[in-house]
Amino acid sequence: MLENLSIAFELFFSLENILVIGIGVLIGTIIGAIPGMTTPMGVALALPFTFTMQPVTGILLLLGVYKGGLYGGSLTAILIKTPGTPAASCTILDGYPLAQKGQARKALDIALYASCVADLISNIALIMFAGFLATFALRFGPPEFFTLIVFSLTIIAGVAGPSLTKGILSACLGLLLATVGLDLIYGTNRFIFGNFELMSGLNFIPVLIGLFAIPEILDRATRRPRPPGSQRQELGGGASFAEFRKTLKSVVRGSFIGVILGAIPGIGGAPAAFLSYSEARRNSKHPENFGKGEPEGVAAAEAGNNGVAGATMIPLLALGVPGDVITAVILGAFMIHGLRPGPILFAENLPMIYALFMGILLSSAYLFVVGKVAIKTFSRVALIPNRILYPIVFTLCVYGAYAVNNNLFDILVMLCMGLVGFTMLRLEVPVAPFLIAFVLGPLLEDNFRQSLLLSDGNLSIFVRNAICWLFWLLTALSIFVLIRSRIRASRTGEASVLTTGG
Amino acid sequence: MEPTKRRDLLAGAMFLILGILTLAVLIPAGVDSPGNVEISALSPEFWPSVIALAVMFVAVCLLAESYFLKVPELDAEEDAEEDAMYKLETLPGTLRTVVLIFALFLFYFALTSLGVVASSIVLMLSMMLFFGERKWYFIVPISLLLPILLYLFFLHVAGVPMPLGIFETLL
Repeated sequence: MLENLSIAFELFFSLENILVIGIGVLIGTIIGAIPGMTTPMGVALALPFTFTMQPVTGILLLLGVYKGGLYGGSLTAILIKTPGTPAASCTILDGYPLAQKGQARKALDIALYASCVADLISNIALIMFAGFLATFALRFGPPEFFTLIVFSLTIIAGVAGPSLTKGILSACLGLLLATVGLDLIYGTNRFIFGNFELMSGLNFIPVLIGLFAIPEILDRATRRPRPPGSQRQELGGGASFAEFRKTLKSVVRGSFIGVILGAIPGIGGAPAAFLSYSEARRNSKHPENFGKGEPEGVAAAEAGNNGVAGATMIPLLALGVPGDVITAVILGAFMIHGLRPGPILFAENLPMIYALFMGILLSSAYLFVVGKVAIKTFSRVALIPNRILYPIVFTLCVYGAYAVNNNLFDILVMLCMGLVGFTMLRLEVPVAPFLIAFVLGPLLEDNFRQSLLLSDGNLSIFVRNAICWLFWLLTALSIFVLIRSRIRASRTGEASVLTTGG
Repeated sequence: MEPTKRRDLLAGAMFLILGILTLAVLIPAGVDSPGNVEISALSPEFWPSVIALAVMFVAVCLLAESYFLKVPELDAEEDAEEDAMYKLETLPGTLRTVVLIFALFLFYFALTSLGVVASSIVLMLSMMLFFGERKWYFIVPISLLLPILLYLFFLHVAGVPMPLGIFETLL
């Protein structure tokens, strides 16, 4: 243990690593603050810049962007009623009214303190549970992994949008696309149609950039630019520690809600923020103040939102299964460096995991510093108009897609995936299940075929023990719950809180 | 019929057609199978076929869902009327999208001869104009500097030389 820690310390302790986390948080905060740029888009655009870095450095940069992005969304939510990220839409409820009362600085401070505390709690949860879960997952063989991935994909498909069926169709499309290339066992061609560029399959990064950045740009071409909410000039005084302490109970509750929802694949920040907010209102002595500028509302929303950041890394690091698009990108970053998160990584490369943990803990401190600076300086960044922003984003996409393999074909893949993503956007089919299924597709198929090889083609191997049964039961249960809530939504006409984003 | 219902029925129909096409055309034409596969579930076409069947099954479920159930409203478009006015005042939305898609693919074919940097400069400039930016002191410096700075970054920091096409000989 001590030996591993000292190797990890050597791996982590370099000026480059320490700087890169701060840069990541800074970039993330700016991207999060810009309406129209989402955190996944930011992480995707940052990915090509990490190719030449050491694995730990590159992954820490992406984690910094992730954490900064989650917080950055609240800046513009509070100041101009325009959430930088979907999860920040909950912060508007009380943050914007506070700003309108001339107390913007107080709202921003409370949002920052709540984010930092939640981030720290979430990081500690990651450190405590990831290793434990990984040790448990060492017992997993191919059938267990197969059922685990089926379960994860079902949840992701179910909560990514209002309709389970559309989510599953999206995931199936991702699985189908993942089969392009050489067959894993026999080495024969699949869907190559004579194009040798397709032999190694479609690269993950052009697919990701195409799905997440291009459709936004195409969609904006048809939309009227919306005027933001009015911004009051006076920001008022900051929040005192006593004021923050009053909200601490909601912050801790929200952080735990974030941790639990974050650890379940697919749920993400927005539902955690809304659930944390509604719990804070339910437990408040003055629920009538919520929505009118209650600092506790801001704190609860931000705590829920940032509480997921460390927890989403638990299934990724321990099981190798990403819970959302951002962790899927981080999985991609691992794979680029020839690493595969999961129990084996814990067994064989523990110092690297510890080094990542050190960096993750440092990111909470950076969040505080960058947040303090951000409040003073770059609330204006958000005012970059989309007509300038989107051409810049597109250029970054082109350079990023090319840099993966030094191949122009990847730019074509990106554009085609952009069209697919745009069609899905128009048909309101969620793209997150598509991407995550695309990343997990080879792993799912590989585990399926390995299981059958082990059992000589006997399908009963997929119910060989209690773990398999547990995952099948959880899958069936989640399908049942999702279908029931869909039928209910049809009756009442309202979508449930778990399907409003994330 | 409500537009959301029509949209979901369209999505269901498109996925159903995709599933049938994959099973009937793409898999037979695109998947090479070795002759001697002992366990049929291990053959290269088994997994894509299972996915295609799942697509067809779930697409039928989506069709039934859209036909029989109401679509829950997430965010009602706040001011659809103003949006419609905007679309009338500028180029109609669909036409603008088609123009943009066409321009992006044209950009890809330009890349092969003009290289990444020059094509990006032209594209950024035209995109900013297309999206409605008119201030030249934003348009010119950004569209010139960004592609060049990115080129230099990727060349010197990441060690990736972006293709310069016909401009390669000028350097």
